[in-house]
Formats: sequence, C-alpha cells, structure tokens
Amino acid sequence: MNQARRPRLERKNGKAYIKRGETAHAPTEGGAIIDGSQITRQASQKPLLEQELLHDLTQSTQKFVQEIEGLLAEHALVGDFDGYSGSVTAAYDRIKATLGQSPDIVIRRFQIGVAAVDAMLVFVNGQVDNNIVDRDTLLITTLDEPATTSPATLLTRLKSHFLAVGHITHTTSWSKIIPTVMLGGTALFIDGVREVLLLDTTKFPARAVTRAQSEPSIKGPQESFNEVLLTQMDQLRRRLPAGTLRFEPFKIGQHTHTTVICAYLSDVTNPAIVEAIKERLGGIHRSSIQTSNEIGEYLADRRFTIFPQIRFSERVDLIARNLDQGKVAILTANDPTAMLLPNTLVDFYQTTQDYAFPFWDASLMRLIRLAGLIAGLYLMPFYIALSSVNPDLLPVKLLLTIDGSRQGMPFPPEVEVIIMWLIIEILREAANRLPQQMGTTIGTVGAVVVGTAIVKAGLVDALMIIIVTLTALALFTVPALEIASTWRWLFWFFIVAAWLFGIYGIVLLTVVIVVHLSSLENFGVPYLSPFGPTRPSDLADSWIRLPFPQIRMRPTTLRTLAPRAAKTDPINPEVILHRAQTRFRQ
Amino acid sequence: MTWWRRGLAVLLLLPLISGCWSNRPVELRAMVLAMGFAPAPQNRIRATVQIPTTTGLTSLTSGSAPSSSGKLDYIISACALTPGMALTRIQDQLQTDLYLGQVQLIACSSHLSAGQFRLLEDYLTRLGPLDKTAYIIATPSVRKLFHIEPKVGGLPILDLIGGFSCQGCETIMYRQHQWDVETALPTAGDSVWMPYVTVTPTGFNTGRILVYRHCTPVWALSPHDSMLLGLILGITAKGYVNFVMQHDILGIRTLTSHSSVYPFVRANRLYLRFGLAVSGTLDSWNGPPVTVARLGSIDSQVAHYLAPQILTVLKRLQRQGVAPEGWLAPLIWRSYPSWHSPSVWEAHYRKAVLIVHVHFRITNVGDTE
Amino acid sequence: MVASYLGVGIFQFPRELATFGGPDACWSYLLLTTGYFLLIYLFLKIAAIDPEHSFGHLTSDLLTPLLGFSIRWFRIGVHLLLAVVVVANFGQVLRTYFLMGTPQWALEGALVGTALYAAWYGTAVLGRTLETGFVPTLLASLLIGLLVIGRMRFAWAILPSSHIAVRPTLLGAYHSAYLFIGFEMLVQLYRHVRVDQRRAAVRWALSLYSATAAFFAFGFVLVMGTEGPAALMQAQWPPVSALRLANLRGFFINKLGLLVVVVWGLFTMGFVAVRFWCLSHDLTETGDGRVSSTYYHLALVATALTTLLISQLLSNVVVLVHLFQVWGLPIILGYLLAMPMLILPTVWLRNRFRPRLAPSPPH
Repeated sequence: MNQARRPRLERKNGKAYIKRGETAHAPTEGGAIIDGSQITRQASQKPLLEQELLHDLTQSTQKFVQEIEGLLAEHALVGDFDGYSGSVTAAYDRIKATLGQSPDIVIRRFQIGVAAVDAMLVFVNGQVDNNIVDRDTLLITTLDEPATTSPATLLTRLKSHFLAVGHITHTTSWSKIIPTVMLGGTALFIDGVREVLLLDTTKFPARAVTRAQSEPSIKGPQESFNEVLLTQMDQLRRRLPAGTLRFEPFKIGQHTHTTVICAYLSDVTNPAIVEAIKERLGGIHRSSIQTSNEIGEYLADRRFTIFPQIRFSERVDLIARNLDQGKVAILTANDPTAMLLPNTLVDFYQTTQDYAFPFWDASLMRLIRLAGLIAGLYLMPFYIALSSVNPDLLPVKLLLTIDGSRQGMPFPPEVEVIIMWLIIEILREAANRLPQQMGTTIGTVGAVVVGTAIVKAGLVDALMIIIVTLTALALFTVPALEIASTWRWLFWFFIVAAWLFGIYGIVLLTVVIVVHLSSLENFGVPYLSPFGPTRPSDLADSWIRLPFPQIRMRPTTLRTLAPRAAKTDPINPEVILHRAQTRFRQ
Repeated sequence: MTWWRRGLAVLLLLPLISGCWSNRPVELRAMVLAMGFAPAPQNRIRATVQIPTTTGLTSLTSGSAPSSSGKLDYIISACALTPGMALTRIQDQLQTDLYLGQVQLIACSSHLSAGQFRLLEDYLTRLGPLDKTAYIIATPSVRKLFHIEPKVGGLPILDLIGGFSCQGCETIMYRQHQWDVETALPTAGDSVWMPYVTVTPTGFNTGRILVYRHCTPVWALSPHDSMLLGLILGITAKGYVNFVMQHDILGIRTLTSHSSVYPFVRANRLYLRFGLAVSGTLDSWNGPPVTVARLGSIDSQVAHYLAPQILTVLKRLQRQGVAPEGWLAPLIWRSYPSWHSPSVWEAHYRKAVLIVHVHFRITNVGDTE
Repeated sequence: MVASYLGVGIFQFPRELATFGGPDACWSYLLLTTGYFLLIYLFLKIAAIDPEHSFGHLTSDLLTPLLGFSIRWFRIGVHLLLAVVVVANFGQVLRTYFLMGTPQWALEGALVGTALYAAWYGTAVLGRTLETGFVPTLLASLLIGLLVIGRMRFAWAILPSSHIAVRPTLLGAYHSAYLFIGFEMLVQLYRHVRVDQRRAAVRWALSLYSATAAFFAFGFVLVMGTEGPAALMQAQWPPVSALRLANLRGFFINKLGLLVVVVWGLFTMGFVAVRFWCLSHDLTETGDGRVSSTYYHLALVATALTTLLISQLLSNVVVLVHLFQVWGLPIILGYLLAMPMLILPTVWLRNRFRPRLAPSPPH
C-alpha cells in the first residue's frame, strides 16, 4: 500500500517529497541514517502539508524498522549482513522485508520430499520462463527422498533434477542472490543448507531480429542485433564459429547490473589492446548503464575530442568482419548497438555495402563519401571566403553572378549561413521527432516553402540556398552517424575561420584539424592512419577498396597476432580452367 | 540565459555583422572591371575606372537585356601626379570600397609620356591584388573607349575582353597581359608592344599593333603591317593576302606561321636570321586548275611576295630600335652581358644584318580544283 | 624532415640565384645542392656518433664545456632567427596579396599559433601531420606548376651558359644557400628515430633531400621560364608572381596559383613548427636527451611568443632580406661548415688515442 502511495505523493508535493524519498531509501542500500532535521525543516516550510507528511514519515519509519529487523535476524545467525544463514524462515523475512514489498516478486514456500524439508523459491514474475519454473522446480516438491538424507546431499540430488534450466550455480552471498533474481534467475533456498541454488530461468521479452534500420545496405546481409545479449552472442557465433572467439563478461552498474561482453578473437587481436580494454571496463563504476554509449565514453582515450573514437553498429556482419580484422567488440545488454574499437578515421567511412558490391562500385561510393565530406565541410566556408575576403580568386563571371545575386541583401553571407543553418537544423530535428510519415511532409514543406519564401522575401540570396542545401546533403553522406555531428561542429569553426582570414583561415584550420587528428590515438592505434603515419598496405581498404584478392593483410595499425588475412597467391583462374578441361577430356 | 551571456553573444555577433579586417562582402566592393590611364594637364595622369551598376550586375547575371532606363555602368575619373593618387581620388567619390582584384582590362593612352608610362607600370607591378593576367591595351583616347555606347546584351568592354580571351577569334592573337609588359620592360633586348584599339562609330577597331621603344610608343602599325608582324611573332591566326599573279588573282586566307629567330654575332657584327614557315588556305583563284606543279609555283610566289614585305617591317622596327619578344634577349643574357644597357644593344641592333627566310605552303585548297 | 628545409626559401627562390649566378644559375644550383648533400651526410655522421645523448652534451664532451655551451645557445639563436624570418616573410606575402586589411600580428599570430599546436604533442604527431599534409600539397604545387608551363616566354633563360664563370657561380650558390639552411635540426631528430630504423632514416633523409632539390629545380625552371631573369630579379617573391599566372578557365576558382600560395602556408607552418620543436628541445633537454613534458610545453609557448614578438619588429621585407643576407647567412653557413670540421676530426683523433667513442657510420 505504501509502495502504491508514494508516487502519488511525489507527484502531488513535488521536490520536498522526492528528497525525502531519497533519504528514506538510503538505509536499504548502505545503512545511512535518515536526516530528520532536514525533513522537519522542509515540513515546517509547508505547514499545510504537515499532517500528511507526518503520516508518511511514520509509514516509512515502520518499513525501515521492518527491514532492519529482517537484516538483524539474519545477522544473528550468520554473523555478517551478506551471508545466507541456511534458515529459510530468516531468509523469507529478509526477502519479505526488502524485495517482498514489490508486487512482482514471487516467494513460494513449500516442503521437499518425505522429510518435509522447508524450501523456498524466489523469482521475479515476468522475468522468468514460467514453463521452466512450473515443470522443473515444482517437480522437486514431489521428490521422494528419505528423511535421513542430509541437506547437503539433498542439494546435489536436486541439481540433477533440473532439466530445462540453463546454468545452475550456488552461492551463500546475498549480494549475488538478489541481482540474479532481479535479472530473471530463480533462487532456491533449502532449510539447513547454507548454499542457495541459483537457477537460470531467464526469459527475456525480446524483439525479433530485424533489418538494420540505422545502417541500411542495398545488398548483402541485413540482420541486426536485438537487445538480448545472448541473442547478440549467438548471432556473432553463427558468423564467426571460430573456437578462438572469446566473450568475456563484465558486470557494470550497481543498480542495473548490466552485463557487458568484451568480444575478440584470441588468435588475432593484439592482446595488449584486449587487456587495456578489459582494464578500462573493470574500472567503470556507475549506478546505471542503459546504453552502450555510456560505456563507450569511458573507453575513449581522449574524452573531450570532437572526433568519435568508437564505432557503433547494430549490424552483425560489420561487427563480425571487424572482429576478424583484429578489433574488439563490446556488447551491452539491453542495447542492440555494439561498439568497435580501436578505430581510425577511415573506419567511420566504411560500410557493409562496400564489401557487398564489386570493388569499382565500392571505391566509387567511398570516394563519393569523401567528396561529400569535402563539399559539406568546405563549400560554404569557401563561399564566404571567396565572396567576402578573397574575391580575387574567382573568375570574373562567377563573381559578377554572386555580386548580382547579393545586391540589396540585408545580411552579410555569414549571417545568412546562420539563418539558413538554423532553419535546416530545426527542420531536421522536427522531422526526427515526428512520426515518419509526418517527418517527410515537414521536410518537403520546409525545403520548398521556407526556401522559396526566404528568397522571395529577399532575406537570403538564391546562391546561398543552393550552397546550404548542398552542404546539408553532403554532410549526410556520412555512413556512421557518430561522425556526422563532428563535421557539423567543425563546419562552424570553418565558417569563423573563413570569415576572419578567408582562404588562409581555412588552410590554417585544416592544418589544426590534421594536427588534432594526428594527435589522437586509441589504444596505441593512430587515428589518422593509414595516412599519417603512412601504412601502404592499409591503403588497399581505405578511401578506395581494391579487389579482395589484393587485400591480404589485416590492418597493420592494429598490430594483430596474425597480420595475414589471406594467402598471397590467388590461384590463377586460367590454370584452373585448363585443369578442368583436361580432366573433362579424359 | 544570464545577462552576461547575452552580452557576450551580442559582442560576438557584432563583428560578424559589421565585417572586420579584410572581410568585406562583395556587394560592398566597387568592382572595377576596366581602368584606363591617360595624360592630363600639368604632367598629371587621369585615371578612369569602369564599375558595373546594380542594374548592370543583375542584367549580367540574368543574361537578359538591360531595361532601357537603367545605366549599366558608371565611369569615374580623377587626375593626380601618380596613378595611385588618382585612384585614391576616385575612391573619394565612391561610398563602397574601390576593388581592383578583378580588373580585366587596363587601357593605356598612347599619349602617355615615357615617364608616366614607367610610373604606371611600376604602380601596376607593385599592386598586390591586381590580376596579372589582366589584358593591357593601348588606345589613342581612353575617354572614347570607356564611353562607347552599349550594344544589346551588356557592357561593351566585356565584349572586348571576350574577344581577347577567345583563342583564335581575332585576326591576330595579339592579346598582351599586364604580365607580359611587366616582364618585357626590364628585360634587356626586349621591347614592349600592345594591341592598339581605336573606337569607331560601330564599336572597337582592333587589329593593329603599337610598338614601344623603352616606354615611348613609336609606331602604330597598319593592319597589314600588324598582320605581317604577327606572322613574324607567330601570333597571326587569320592572316590574309591577295595579289595578282601573272594576270590571275590569288587570295590566301587563314595565314598562320611558325617562326623562329636566331641571333648570332660574327666578326663583331650582329646577325638576326628569321625563319618563317607560313601556311594558308587557298581562298580565291581565277587561274587554271590547281595541279601539283602549279601549287608549287603558287607557294613560291606567295613566299616571294611575303618575304620583302616582312623585311620592310623588320627594317622599320630596326630603324626605331624596337625588338619585340626575345629576339635579342637570349643572346644578351647568355653571351653578351656587356650589352645590357639599352644604348649598347640598340646600337648593335641598328647595325645588324637581317636575314629573312619565308617558306610558304598551301595546306588546304578548298572544295574545288 | 622535408619540413626542416622547405619553407625558408620557397617564396624567394630563385631570385638570388638569378641575380648573382646570372646565366650560370644552373651551375650555381648544382653546386649548391651537391654541397648541401655532403653537408647533410656529414651532419648525419655527427648525429650517429652518440645518439644516446643530446647534441649539446656531445659538443661539451668532445670540445670544451664552454664551447658546447656556446654552441647550444648559438643553435637556439639560429633556430629562432630562422623561425622569425619565415614567419615575418610569410606574413608579408599574405599582406601583399591576400589580406591587405588584416593586421600583421593577426596573420602571424594565427600562423605561430598553428605551429605551436602542431609542435605541442611532440615528435610523432608533428611527423604524422607533416606526412599527411606535405604529399598532397607538393603534388598540387607540381600540378598547378604544370599549368604555368604554357606561359613560359623566357624558356631560353633556363639553359645553362656554355662557359662557366667561377665567381658568379659561387656567388649564386652562396646567396641562395638559405634554401636548405634549416636542415641542421636533423641531428636532433636522429635521436628520436627508433634504433632499428636509423639506417633507413638516413637513407630517407638523403633521398627526401634529393626529392626536395628536384622540386626546387622544377620551381627554378618554372619561375625563370615565365618571368625571365630581369623581372625575376626585381620581384619580391618571384614564385608567387609566377604562380599567379596559373589561371584555369572554367573552374570554380580560376586563380589556382594564388590558392597554392596560401596552401604553402602549410610549408611555412611546418618549418616554424619544426623550429619550435627544436628550440624547445634545445632549451629544455638534459644531458641524456630527456625532456620533461611541462618544461617542453613552457619552452614551446615562450618560443612562440618570442618569435611572434620579434617578427613584429620586421615590418618590411626589404629590411628582412637585407638583414638575413648580410648577417644571418654568413654566420649560419659558417657554423654549418665549422661543425663537421671540428667534430669529426676530434672524434677521429680521440678514437685514435683513446678508443672509447665509436662512431657508427650512417651507412
């Protein structure tokens, strides 16, 4: 009843109650003492609510007393707060006092066998597969054990009775029991046995495996990850059935207990990188992990750089390919986005599609992306530089055109950019927030209506509209979303540089960016490789992609254990044909 | 947003709106398309600039014919002792920034004194933003050139510039860039020459060359002589000759040439050997049908017709001490540094022996025998 | 490595070569490049004597501590001078052709700031940056240079004279010696190369030097051919003038040559950044060649500020060139010639009488 009441009160009384709620929660976590003075002070500030507040205070204090009693009962038996005493009753009290108040916690007490040994099952309704619990766990109630069997033997016997259950572990520690139960496990307590059986009865509410939404590809595999970690691992295993594919689990998040998997090929990936990543994963202490990015931002070498250092992908094939290249993938429970590292700049411009198409197509697509990047980043700054600072560099006819279209414009070009860019970003964000069908409408309306109107109104010149549109389109040719915002930020730096120093500013800023890129390293892998430092063999799969027989080496920057990914000499097709023909004639 | 953040934003935006340092949007620049320099009383120089007006710009942009009311350009001029000062005076008459980065044409009056011409060239050379590939011409009257009535479709000066930039459009490809003059002036053994543009009631008359001795114009060649000089320099694109050959009238068009000049000194005497390989298209011929033998005779007749005329032009140039386009410069640079002074090389040049070899071939006889 | 010499002369070359070498300019250039090849070889030999210690330590050890100390501070002065000269010169190029209205301090400040940032992260990052930037810029320069070839009216000036006059040849070589004068820092760089790559690095240094010399030779042909000797001698920045003729019709930007000149800011930046790196190392490194990161950064900032301040005093390119030609060039060249002559015989003598330091040959 108390549980049901609290949210209502919180909504009603706002800040003061939320604060109180926090302090009242504290004891279940670490045994902090309620800050009574604070509550009183806050209550006195709101005399009208005094009555209700007092009532609530009494309620929570009662609950607290209950919890303390449960803990104390256990403590009296074991001597510490974490260990399970072996007494089902004590455990029941404790669970009832702590977890049992939630309606989704199911506690079933029953007796096993002839000897009628007290036992108790604890699980979270909805998280477990009811079939398993019903079929297997309730089977044990009918277990025909003589009364003389010691509880320890009983435990071993019981283990062999569970068939449908996955893993079975046992523990004595509450700090392990509770999280397991919370994540869909079932805890079996048997009176007199200090070990608690933890049964893997998890059933996740899972989405089906769908097409990759954020990284579409015209050809090639379409499968994407879903939120369930096990499925993610299965999908990877299917693509990389190598025995050396390692999944190393980490539990991160005091509250979320999120499982994070560090995946790599032990015979390929540089162990130094793996060790460093594992060390960093182990060092993350946060109460909650909901998305993979929350982990990703811990893993980057340089946190404040504008360039993304981790590649996110929901595509199974992309992750599998990169694992084989010698990278490490991080899978996060409840997030279909896996992370890859370490990365170089070029990695963010490579997609699955590049590998699913012939190399001419693939190279063309990549070069177009590069052209898109250059156009998106430089077109507008160049327009500003050439129309305002260095018009000398333009051919006279073009300059006359620009001059003609700019006659009578109220704003200088840089302000026009701000206006247009704001409009575009607002349209983009609006289209993102709206349902898909409406989003398209907004885009069209924005582009046509606003674009035409703004030129008609004489606020922005027509050339600017063309350039802004091209820039916006060009910047969206980026295949990896995480780097798109980088360029959108840098775009503004370029605008300022062009406005201040013209072409000179653009050149200097480019140098600064190259310096910054050169200075970036991830786990010892230079970000600008294979261009700085030059790695000739890696160029085969960079801004162009050579035919696969030509790409024989894994990226040298990753310093893999097995640098060679393919045999040197592809068999001469003519020889094969000749052999086949000879055989046919015989 | 706190007040100081707002203040900071305004402070940051202020220069963004007003522009700073070298940032000046193109609409705030008075873009000079052509400028001219002529002598003025009291040894001063009159500078004239042509700037397209807003009407002119929009008509140029849209390509449509200008409305009858709108003026396409405005022409401003001012006098001063130096060209720079004259341009500053022009700036005083303008509300926008006088911008010389896109000058397409520089017109020098042929009446400029040597001192003024030198001063002008020095000014143009020093001017950083000036486009060195701007065309430079000589004209008897800068005022007339700039005030020519526009025909349909835009600024007349742009037509002139268009003619220069079109490879092979005009009879002689005699365009000279500011750069050419700038480099020829200090080079020992090189003389400056420029296209000589006059104004006629119908427009511009191009097709003549004006040669300078040091900085003084000495001879404005007739169109025919210009064509011959063009052949010597290898820049004639559409030369034409017609004459009577044994009672038959002969016309040759699209005369072009490959020319070479070989200067050498023998027994302390300068020799200049010119070799011209001229070719052309048989254009008019009312004699008997063209056979191989007759073609050969026509070839030699034309060569014999051209050679003395070319020699005459060369002799006149020699008399005036004018040696365009590196006839002597390589010799002076590589072997006779002592000739560096103009008086010395000119003295040698005036006494030089000129040898002309002309070889002519008809490369095209047209669609009939 | 290339950055250590590409940058100081790129805007001036080949003015002095034509002025002093006259028709013997070709021979002067040949003499100059051969001379520098030998000098670089000798300096790399010096670097190989004791790669574990700093150059200052080496000179103190081999010669006297006093001389070593003086040489160290002399080198600091030399690098500072080179940085100042290059910064001031480029600032004036920009002010003449591009940004007439922008104050000198802003132009040069931006350049120095960029160079400071490039040198900030140390050797590897600086190397990578230059590696990434130099190749495309050089290629672009060559391509744009090819556009100018059509405008070569003075091709005759390129051909070497038939008879070599000794005095002009020597003078031309001497006055153009600024071209590769910055190479000296290779000695310092050598120590930062991994031990197993040092042999390769020496080969690279020499072949990159040869490539740069070829690049400048191309520049010589181009500038001489388009401007002619007389106009070239008068021009303040001959290559810039020549490149301004590169004019591609029917392109978004048609004065591509001018664009290249601005892009050469990269060379200038590289040169200055390498100087800063070198100066900061010289200022802060201890005997065994270690450099504390904090001191390095402090020295870097101090160096950059000093360079910027001094370059503000040189407001005129005529003064700048005069000062450099009359004072800078003979002093630096004297030092460059004296070092191998002092150090190599000393090492030889020392090995003969006290075989302790074994100079490992670079090849």
